Amino acid sequence: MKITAILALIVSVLALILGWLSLAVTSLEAYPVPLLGALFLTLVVLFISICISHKETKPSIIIFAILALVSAIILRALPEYLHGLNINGVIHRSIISALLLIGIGVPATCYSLFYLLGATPRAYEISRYPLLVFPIILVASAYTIIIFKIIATGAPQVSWSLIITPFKSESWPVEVWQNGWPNFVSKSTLQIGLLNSILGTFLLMVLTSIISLPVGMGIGIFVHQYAGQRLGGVIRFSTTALRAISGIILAITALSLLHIVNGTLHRTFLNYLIQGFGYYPNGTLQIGRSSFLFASIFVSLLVIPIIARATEEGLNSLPKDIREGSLAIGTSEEHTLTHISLPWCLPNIITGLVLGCAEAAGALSIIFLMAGTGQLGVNPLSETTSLAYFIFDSRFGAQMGDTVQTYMGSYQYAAAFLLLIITVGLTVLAMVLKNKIARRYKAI
Amino acid sequence: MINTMVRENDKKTNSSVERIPGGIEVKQLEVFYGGNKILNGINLIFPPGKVTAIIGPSGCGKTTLLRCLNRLNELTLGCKVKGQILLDDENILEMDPMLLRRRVGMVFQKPNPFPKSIKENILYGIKAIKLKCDHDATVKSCLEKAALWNELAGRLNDSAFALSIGQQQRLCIARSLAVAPEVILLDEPASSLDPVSTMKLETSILAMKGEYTQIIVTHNMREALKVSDYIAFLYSGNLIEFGETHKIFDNPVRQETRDYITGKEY
Amino acid sequence: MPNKVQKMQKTIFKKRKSKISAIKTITFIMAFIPIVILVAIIISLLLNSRTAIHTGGWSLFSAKFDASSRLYGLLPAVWGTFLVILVAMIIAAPVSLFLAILANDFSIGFLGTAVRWALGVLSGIPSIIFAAMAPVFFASFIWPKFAGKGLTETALLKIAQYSTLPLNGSTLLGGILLSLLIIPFLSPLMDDAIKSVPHTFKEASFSLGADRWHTLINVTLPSAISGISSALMLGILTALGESVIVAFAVGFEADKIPVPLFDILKKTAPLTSSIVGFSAGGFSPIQNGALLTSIGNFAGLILLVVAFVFLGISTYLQIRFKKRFIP
Repeated sequence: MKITAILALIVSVLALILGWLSLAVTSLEAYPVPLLGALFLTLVVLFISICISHKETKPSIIIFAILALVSAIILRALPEYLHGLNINGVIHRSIISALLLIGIGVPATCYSLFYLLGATPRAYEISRYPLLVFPIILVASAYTIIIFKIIATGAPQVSWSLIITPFKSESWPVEVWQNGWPNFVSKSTLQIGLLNSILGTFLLMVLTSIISLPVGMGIGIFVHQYAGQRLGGVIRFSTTALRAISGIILAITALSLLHIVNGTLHRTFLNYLIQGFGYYPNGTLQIGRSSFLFASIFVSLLVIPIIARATEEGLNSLPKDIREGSLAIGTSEEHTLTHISLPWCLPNIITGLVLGCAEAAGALSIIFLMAGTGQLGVNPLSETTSLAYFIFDSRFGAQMGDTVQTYMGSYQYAAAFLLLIITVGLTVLAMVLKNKIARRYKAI
Repeated sequence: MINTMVRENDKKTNSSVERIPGGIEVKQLEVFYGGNKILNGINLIFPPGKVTAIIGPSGCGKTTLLRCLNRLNELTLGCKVKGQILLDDENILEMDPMLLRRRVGMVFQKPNPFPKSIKENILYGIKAIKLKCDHDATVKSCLEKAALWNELAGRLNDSAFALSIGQQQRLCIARSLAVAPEVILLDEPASSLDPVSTMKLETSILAMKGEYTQIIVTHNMREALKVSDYIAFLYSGNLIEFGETHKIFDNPVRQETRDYITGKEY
Repeated sequence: MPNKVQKMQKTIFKKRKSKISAIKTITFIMAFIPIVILVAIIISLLLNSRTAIHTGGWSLFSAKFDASSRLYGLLPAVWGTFLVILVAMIIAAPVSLFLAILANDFSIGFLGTAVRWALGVLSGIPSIIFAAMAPVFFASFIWPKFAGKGLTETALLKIAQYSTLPLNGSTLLGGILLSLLIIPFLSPLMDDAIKSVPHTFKEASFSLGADRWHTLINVTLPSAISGISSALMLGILTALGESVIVAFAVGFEADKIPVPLFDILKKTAPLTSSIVGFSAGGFSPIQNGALLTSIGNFAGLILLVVAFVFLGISTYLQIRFKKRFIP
């Protein structure tokens, strides 16, 4: 009986692999039908051998065998492309075959595994694993494709010079004397580099941290220490709501705020601070849409909830009797807060800050709508670009009338690679810190 | 205590100063938690320099009474206190709670050392009130009084969490001694400890007699017998009986006291 | 008490009072910033939508968006949001649940820790990375399977009665990429939900002879259901606000509701990328700037309302989840 089970297992695993590959490739169309036929045969054989050795009939196996046969016949009959119901595409047969293969292959694997391991209850547990594992494998392969593609295409493009050189694409009119008459000719320089994108990303992280760290800690301390039940609940809810609101809504609010600022504070210093300004190489003043400083205020709205929650969790994790012990000695609540509670939750806050920086590095909607072109260098007081924006621009730049998009597009993966390293690196750092925090609880 | 603080300031030593422990007098104390009346008109005097044990069955208000004495009960929401508690003829309930707590220290049921080093634990209170004194000498004398100096002499910079539970509890005692209180409250200090640590703890309590007024809440009759000079028996929020230890044990006046004590003898 | 001591007491008292006010006031101000900003956002959205409501009126809720005929219907955009989230959740919810189950009850050796670490690393990937992969996925998956790569025009005419297929994006692509973004976010939440089921329940089930699978389906999952539903709501919330991926994968135009309603192969932009289209200029065929931004604000308002609904449901479920285990 074991032999039939092994046979069934091999065939069903083959079916699964074929299904998985069919999702990616269209050229394997010759194989599903014979494989499904083979599956039908092996399942029937398995059924018979179970009848003989275990003296029980398992109807589900026969049902799956029949399903395999039916799907083989259907697949045979299907044309290569399907169309109908006015949908916007033609569905290739490989999708159907992939679905059928997976749909029948997974239960078949489970059953054959079960009987291979001797039909004990322990075998029943183990035989359920393919059901859990296969969808995960499908998704994991999608992630692998993404990561490999970025690393494979991006890493070779990243050279030292690419990182060091800033991106410059400027054109300005230059006076040229021709035949005794002044003439204006447009002179332009083009230099592809990622320096200002990288610096811009780091600048964004720094600005966001400066703003969100005090505010986030303040919220966490207030909710933990001073707020009552209901007030604390309201503040917690609104802080989470800030995260729930997508970046795009924050961005359009910021835009309308900009308009108001432009209207009322026109031509004052504050206006320049908020709107962003910078100087072209030949000295002309250029006013942008908004300054990076102003934009980072809004990006930090996304980061503040992370830090606030980290602070609150850290404060909650300190055992209550230590606070009482400090009070019993005769110190004030504030002293306990600054000398005991805050040093204790410092690792939590740092972890939150690191995660927040990773978020800020990836923020795009706000930067895009407000402060992203970065023509004027890396400068909190003007528009600065970031890696995320570079990627966005290299795809959509053409639509926005940017002719250098073709040049930038070839470095899209390099920028993606660098961004990936920065964000994933920060996330891994945060995870390591979290592990270290978890270890200190063993001492209590 | 402020007297001794000022004097210590002048002398720059911490160990050979005459300590004047304070006595506490409780007058008609009533305590409510929300709508429930926990303590019913308690009248009690805790003699200075002696050890008084508060005993009674669970839920009779022992811990509530203890926590009133350093006003930690105010941390619980909905707590109302009526009556007077006098520390050296000053009403505790009208004092600044923080100043009160520097004169009345507390050791808790479950040891709660700070997540700092041993040395920093002891110096915490001193640094908080910015008292000028010789740090090393203070640490040494406090640890000696808590019977920890011999064990921890070379390890002062280790984390307090690395100590055993018994050592942690004695460290908590040493920590509360550092601010030179007049009264020390002990809330079932030995309930988390094994017999050996309990014995060391009791030795410390006995050694501190005369220098500090100690009020100890305990479930353990043997411990009350061993360390205390006076016993107060509480039942359902009322003070049933108060008197010298050996008198109460040999000849309790009230029936409830007799039942409780003999029940515990088993 | 000597006077010197009384003076010392008073100075300590005064110092302490001022310290209390400082920290308390500062944290009080900080704590109200989120509330103030939320209110400011809502007010700003409301005020800015006035033009749209004036010009558009009820046509804002119609099913067509066509500036020339003065129809500014946002319903296609809402439907686009619904479709994209549906696709994303169909893929993401079961996979996240399986991952959480694998990390908890069905973990062998280091499998659980490895899964959690992998999810942690993946959760750090920002959405632009997934968005940038949209062309790759399209070329390798959608185009061959759903859009007839390699077919000549005549062959296409024979099958589909039209000769060219619109390329470069579809709701299906947006949904797949969105699910890849959500899974590392959703899985730890479900992991927490399953982890919080008390040990005692599972031990009782095992001691009666049930195997792990049976315990999972009959004991663990029913107990964790509130936590899992709350996690799902939060996942939907995150997917709602995602503008970058859908901008790359689906585009910016939501003209009409797709005719077979669930046609995920068409491009129906969800609310978020529609708003980008309205606000950025150059992405939409309409040229009237002020009206566009106003419509964008109105769409933002709709998005906000939907988001708050889901946030409310999730918070309610979380409270119920916590109450379950208090004896």
